[in-house]
Amino acid sequence: MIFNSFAFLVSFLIVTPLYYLVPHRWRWLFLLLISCFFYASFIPAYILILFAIILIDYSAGLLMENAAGHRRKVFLTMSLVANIGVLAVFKYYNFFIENVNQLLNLAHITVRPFPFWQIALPIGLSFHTFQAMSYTLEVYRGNQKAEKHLGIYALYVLFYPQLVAGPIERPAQLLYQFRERHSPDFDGIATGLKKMLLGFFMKCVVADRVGIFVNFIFVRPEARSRLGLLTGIVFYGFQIYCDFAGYSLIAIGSAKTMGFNLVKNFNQPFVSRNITEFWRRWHISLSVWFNDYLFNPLLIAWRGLGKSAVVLAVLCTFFISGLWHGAGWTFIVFGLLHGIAVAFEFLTRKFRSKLARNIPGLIYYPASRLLTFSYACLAWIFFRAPTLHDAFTFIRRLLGPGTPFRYASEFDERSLLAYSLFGIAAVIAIDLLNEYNNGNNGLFNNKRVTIRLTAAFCMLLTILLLGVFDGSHFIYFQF
Amino acid sequence: MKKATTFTAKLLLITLAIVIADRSIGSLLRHYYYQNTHGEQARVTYVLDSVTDPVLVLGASRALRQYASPIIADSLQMACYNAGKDKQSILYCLAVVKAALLRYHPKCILLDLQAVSFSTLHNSLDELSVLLPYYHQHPELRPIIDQRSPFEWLKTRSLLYCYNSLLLPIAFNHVSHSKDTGIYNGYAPMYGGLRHPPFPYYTVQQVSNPPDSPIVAAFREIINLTLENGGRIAVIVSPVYFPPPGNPTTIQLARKICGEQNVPFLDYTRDTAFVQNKDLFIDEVHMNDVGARRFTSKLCNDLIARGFRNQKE
Repeated sequence: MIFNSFAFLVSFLIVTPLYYLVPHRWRWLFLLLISCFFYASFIPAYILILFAIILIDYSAGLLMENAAGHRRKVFLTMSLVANIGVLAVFKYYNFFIENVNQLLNLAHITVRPFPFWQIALPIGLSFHTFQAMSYTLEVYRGNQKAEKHLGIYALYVLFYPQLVAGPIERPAQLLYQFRERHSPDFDGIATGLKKMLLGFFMKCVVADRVGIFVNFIFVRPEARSRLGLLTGIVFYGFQIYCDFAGYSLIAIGSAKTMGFNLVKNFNQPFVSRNITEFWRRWHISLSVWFNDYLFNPLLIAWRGLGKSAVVLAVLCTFFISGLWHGAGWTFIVFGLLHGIAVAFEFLTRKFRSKLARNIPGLIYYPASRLLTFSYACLAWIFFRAPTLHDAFTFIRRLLGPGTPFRYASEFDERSLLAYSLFGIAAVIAIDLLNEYNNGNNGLFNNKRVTIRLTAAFCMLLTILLLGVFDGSHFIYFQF
Repeated sequence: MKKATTFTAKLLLITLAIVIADRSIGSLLRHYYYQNTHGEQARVTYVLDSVTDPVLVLGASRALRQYASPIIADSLQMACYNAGKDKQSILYCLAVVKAALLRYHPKCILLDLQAVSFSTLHNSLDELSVLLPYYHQHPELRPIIDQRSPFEWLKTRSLLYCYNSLLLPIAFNHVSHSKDTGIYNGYAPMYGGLRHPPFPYYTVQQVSNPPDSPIVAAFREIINLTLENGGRIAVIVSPVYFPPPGNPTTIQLARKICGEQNVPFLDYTRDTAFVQNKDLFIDEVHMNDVGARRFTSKLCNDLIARGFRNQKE
């Protein structure tokens, strides 16, 4: 059941009031059953994989707490192997086999190619395995007490608003909330509904609308004009942002209506002045995860190497981050491009500070933002293209000679273009309002109730009038 | 308690405002939608409400661009209307047939098929949104539109949903003074040569995809409805620049179904008169006007040979 489906809307309208009607001591069970139903609506059998992971991590947590010394590490390893193993089998097996077959072919070793595994990737696998791993890692580090209640722990992994695409929660942030007694907090419910409304706006009005244009461009980049390609990749930047941030807002909002606070996942990433800042604002829960469980341990392990340790740790983290996004060389290149940029920024930070002092802010900061956005767009070409060849074809057509710049047939659908530009302009306006209002949306949180209500009404009306309701999946579901 | 009351009041107020907006803006959109005299929406309205030509061409963009209605009318000696529509599928064709049969009985239907027509259910259902404005006016179309989702019957209670995304197209068509020039009884030719180096459009995987049963059922229904109402039907796969690889599932199955019903099945995808002829195509799957006229003439000869010419009383 995807968030932008009518089925979800109906379920949400039933589940949320019911949650408050269920006696407190049974709410965990109610939410667990709903979450199972939610997940099983995609591919029912895959919930068994989740149950297995839950059992292993739950047991590992308890065993770790009762063990000492080396044995704790054994139980942690057991849990990590199980989680990464599931990822390896379902997500990376075919990628691995494909590369092995190609290597054998290159080496002229004639063996029968290893067969691929024709199986669909469990939806949101990377998200819930990372969330599960953060639990065992926190218990191992002693920051979190092992959860005794299997149902509550299962709910930590399965909680339906953030089950399939995050935000990736930490046990300390979420587990205790399942024990809290939530009575209807109407301010909270209103906040949640507004977040959901904005999420639906970003998904249906912006992401899915510009996605139509983006698909058209990426299907055949070799047949498009330079202007078409440029528009396509800029639009893709907004598509992926609005798709994922929209999802996150619906997740955070729907949890909030039941009294749960999930972590913020996006913080106006397009106002970032460099790639390092971009990753502090983009998919925050993943960045923090990698920072805590990969980058910092690597940095500590390699601290003897000085500056090189930082560069190596950054590249390694972004390599893994790329691979986390998808099993393909395109994703690895995507990750590495970001890693290179962050490493470059680390090495040139003094020079850049000097530069910032010598160039007027009115020029330096907008230029930095434009450069950051352009670089992110360049990396997204790899994220979006099905193969490296396609990505390089796109770049060659975009930057190489011989591509006409002229206004071409890709812009024939005037209304599509107009709706897309309207949606993008609206998102930029909302982000700027948020950025310069300390994170509060100026319209939704206005002091005057008429303005707040009018804003909500206009957004709802715009969704109904201009939204795309083709039930398309969220981009990050595939991860 | 006060907070609950305030919250409920606000929620009710917004809901009421949305219902009023839905009715009022929706009615305005409906009014202006049906006022459009040109543009794509007006063409759909004309096809569903007014066409009475004995020969109907059905299909997607390849039908629209490649079947020169004037040539068909001259050759078969019956008026012909090209009801093809960009991006549409067999489900849309079924809708056109159902709407037409309420007004008259077409004598002849020419159904254009693509090598992948039977395996495009997801896209086909999305594109059926062009029929949403007719949900209330054409009850015969509801079973087709309802396939879009289990809740379609409920969603269509909203007028804004039915006219979703149509605000600008309606406005453009109202302010635009350019009429549908260059369209001849539905036939919308394209001019010029190849716009870019052509490439094999269909992949082996695409043409081997299993057929989607709702589309196959719609295909069968179009044939049955036409035959039951005394008309004739021919299923045609018009030329493409590069022939599709292998033996496409759609073509195999369509040929089989046509064979069972004794319906002519004409496949031009490997016709050497068209394949890789740079002068006749505008892209991989669409012919230019020269190509379309040459193809239509050839098709008409083949149809006449099968007795499709009107026998004057």
